[in-house]
Amino acid sequence: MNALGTLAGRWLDTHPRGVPPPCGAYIAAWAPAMTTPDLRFEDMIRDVACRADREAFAALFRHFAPRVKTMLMRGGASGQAAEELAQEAMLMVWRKAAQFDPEKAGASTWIFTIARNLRIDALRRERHPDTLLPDPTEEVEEPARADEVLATAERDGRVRAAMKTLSPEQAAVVRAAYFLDQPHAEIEKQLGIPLGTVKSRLRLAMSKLRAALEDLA
Amino acid sequence: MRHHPSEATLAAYAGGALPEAMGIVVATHLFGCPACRNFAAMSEAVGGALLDDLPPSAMEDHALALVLARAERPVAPAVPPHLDNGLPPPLNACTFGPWRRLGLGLRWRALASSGRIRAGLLEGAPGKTLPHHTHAGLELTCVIAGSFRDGDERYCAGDLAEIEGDHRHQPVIDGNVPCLCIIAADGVQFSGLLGFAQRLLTD
Repeated sequence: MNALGTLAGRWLDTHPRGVPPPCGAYIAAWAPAMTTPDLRFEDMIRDVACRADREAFAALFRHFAPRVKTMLMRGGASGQAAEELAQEAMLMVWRKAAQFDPEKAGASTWIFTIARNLRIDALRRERHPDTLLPDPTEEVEEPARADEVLATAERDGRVRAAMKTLSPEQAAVVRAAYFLDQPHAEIEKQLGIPLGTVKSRLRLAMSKLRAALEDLA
Repeated sequence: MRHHPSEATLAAYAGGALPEAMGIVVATHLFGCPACRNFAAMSEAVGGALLDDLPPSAMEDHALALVLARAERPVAPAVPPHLDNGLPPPLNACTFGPWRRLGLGLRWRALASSGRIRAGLLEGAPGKTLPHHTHAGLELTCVIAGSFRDGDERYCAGDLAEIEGDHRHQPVIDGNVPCLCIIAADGVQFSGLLGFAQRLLTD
């Protein structure tokens, strides 16, 4: 196999759906230690924040909106509801771009939390229209001390590397735990394994991820 | 790790899959626990990596144009509800019902939330014992003030007790000051005569 074939193979390993990669990903394929595939997305969010850059926003939209839509559909939303919430999530990306802090989270992590919060809000409106509960994940925490915060790039890199060490069964449980509504019961139904096994696999998988970060903390 | 949420609970919290009332108890703990905040941040990074690897679903033709058109409209800044209720910040925007006496030196203030999860503030005087109860599901308790003992374990302000399944327990409030906790439980069954107290809690 020639060099191009090898590169394509590496790309397909991590991006099996054949999506056009961001430039950063090509660089990452050649020199994985130097950069991360997400590098450019952080810059694009900065450009949206600093100069309302519509082209940067369009690039973010092309990558993230279709994936947020998939995430919401896996959580049980209809195609229509997922489309609307994905648009809403991207609107939040535009409006909150100035609040994005690349020291705290990478672009995909930040957009994941935006989509997650919108999903929580949507479920709340649907199930308990009368209750007033705060967004439990709004930031009200004490500021973190410098020595307890891992460098984001390092953390994201470690997390991705550690996720590759999970067994296929553990990875399936983790994926399901993040994207399904009422995850434990749904996993039991969809993967056909008993609830006790679901929980112990999830616990093992998360402990493994925790261990991968421990020497950094 | 008995005084912190389990990894699975923190992952469910970060993934948005934890029932909301339970999320509020976890948030109360995270407010004072840097180690768990770090793990929650890592769990969010797991979510970000998973999002990146999802296959795309085609958006509608004019989706981008629609969003850009909406982005141009000015927005009124949203004022988040904030009630100065003297509780830790994660609970400042929560709505609670009135205090209700449960007898036995205990009082209860329900969190406005519905569904199977029962949640609220429980306060007890020193030396009081909580009723014997067992769980069908998960129970999360975060201590806001004072302390309690459950078997060999002592829980102080900021500590979180996570109990799941068939655990039959009887916490005792120790120390000299009243103990205030925020609790969320799925399917609590009080035994014996205290069934009536449970009916109070359901209101």
